[in-house]
Amino acid sequence: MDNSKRVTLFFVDNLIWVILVGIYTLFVVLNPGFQNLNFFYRLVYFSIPLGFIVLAEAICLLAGVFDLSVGQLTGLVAMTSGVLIVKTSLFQGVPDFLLVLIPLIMGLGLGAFNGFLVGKLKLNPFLATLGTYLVFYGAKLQATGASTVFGFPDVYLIFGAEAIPTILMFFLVFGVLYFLLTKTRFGYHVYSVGSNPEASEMLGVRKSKIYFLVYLISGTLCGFAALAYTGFVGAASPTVASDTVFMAFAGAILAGVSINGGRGSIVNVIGGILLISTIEGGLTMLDVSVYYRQVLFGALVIVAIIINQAREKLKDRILLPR
Amino acid sequence: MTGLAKDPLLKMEKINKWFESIQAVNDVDFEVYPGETVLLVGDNGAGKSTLIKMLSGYHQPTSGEIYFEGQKVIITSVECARKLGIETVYQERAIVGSSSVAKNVFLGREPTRAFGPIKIVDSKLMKEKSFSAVNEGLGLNISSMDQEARFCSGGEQQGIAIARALLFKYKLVILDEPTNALSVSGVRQVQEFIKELGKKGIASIIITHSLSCIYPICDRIVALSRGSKILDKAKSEISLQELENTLLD
Repeated sequence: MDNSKRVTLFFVDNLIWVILVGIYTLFVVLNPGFQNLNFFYRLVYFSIPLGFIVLAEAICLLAGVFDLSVGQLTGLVAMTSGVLIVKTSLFQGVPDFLLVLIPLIMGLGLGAFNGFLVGKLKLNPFLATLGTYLVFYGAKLQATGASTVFGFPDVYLIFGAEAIPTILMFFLVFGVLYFLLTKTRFGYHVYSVGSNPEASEMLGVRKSKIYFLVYLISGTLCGFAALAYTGFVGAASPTVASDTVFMAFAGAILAGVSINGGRGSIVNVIGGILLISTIEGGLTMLDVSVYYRQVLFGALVIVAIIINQAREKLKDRILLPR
Repeated sequence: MTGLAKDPLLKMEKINKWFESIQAVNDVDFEVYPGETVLLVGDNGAGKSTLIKMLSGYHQPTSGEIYFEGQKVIITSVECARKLGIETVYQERAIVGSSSVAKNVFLGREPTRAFGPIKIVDSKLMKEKSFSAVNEGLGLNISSMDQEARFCSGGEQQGIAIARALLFKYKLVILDEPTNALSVSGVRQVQEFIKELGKKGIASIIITHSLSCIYPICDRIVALSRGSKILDKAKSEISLQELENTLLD
């Protein structure tokens, strides 16, 4: 492949970063407050709770499934952990720093439930997770009395309340996810099942096992999100992460993860997360009304789909041999 | 190459398969000797695919026994078939289009190396081995193992599927309609691949409607009709014309 093709391919594969830099620069021009490096640092920090949810959705998409329940799962974990830690004496004797494991284990468990429905019972992923969306939503309000929980120990809140531990936690988790997806057999199988589940099955890769594990990971990532949201706000609120599923899809699609499965880079998903935060932050600073912002985000998702389709066509043209 | 003097590698004895009230396979005896190339023919619905799926782990016989290398076996899954040394190359070739050639060749069996206590995929080894299997072993000319498989021609994709059989040292390879929808050069390549399997002492069962393509390179022909075996002859005992006539009846 000649050099001009290589360079074009590089840009096509990493378009999200080009767009991110472009949009960020646009906001810098429109609003000098953006120029501050500290502002960027805080932007990264603010994007982490949603970032976990975007990662959760991205890994599902890579495997060729969906998880519509990500937001509600996060909310249920946050609220239930809150009630169990603060309002019951269940974890009275447990050292505070171990309490952070509770939302993670709960997220793993709820993810396993999704995984059971799609992996073992072979239900349609869209319908199954639509169902669990509703179940988790109801359970969240019913089981926890739907009122905000305060009074968490400081150690529990640190992941979310303080920028550095939060950012470190995110990149550590991301690092593990990156390793899993790009260096292990499991990761290779996620991509192959996402791209062609029948072919994979014919060659001995059990798609039901992959789906189950992917939902497990998705649930656990939502557990991290629950921890981050709680720390961020200093409390567990019943509305936390409620509408995030749409942004989760948007972030992953913007980053080039294919809706059909089997294609996309987890590194680029970081770009998608930052892009959402940049736009959110930029529009806030420009005092754009909330409703207008919704319109803009919707338009953005549509534009993202168009750009990605064009991008994939261009990539095909470049890669076609001879 | 037929090795008829030796014991059969595969022996299917009095195999019956019922799907509810439909009998797909009716009391079939089927043998394959080591290194032999068997052509399995018959009309649609004759039971060829069903018979073969009992060897790849998809179905189990309703009655009858399967012996492999002299031992009675029960093949319950793809992994089970593989462990025995049986590999099936499907009509659809089981290719993941957006994965690279190397990843396709090694799908499900990616080689790993230890990274402390963790096993990571040895992608360098994957590329080297798939390159040599596909280009040197099968005479293809795919320049980069990172190329996405969907950009490969039909013959090249078939080569990728067959490279799997060459790399993993199978004893029996089943090819279901390997020349389907291929160009003339693609068909030629597949013929060379099958000859290569024979040269390496790997037995093969070829299911095809293209008698003229496979007849020249096979050792024996078995024909099924409506679930029963109607023919089982060495190539020397029946001409292509006679074979076609038998099937037309």
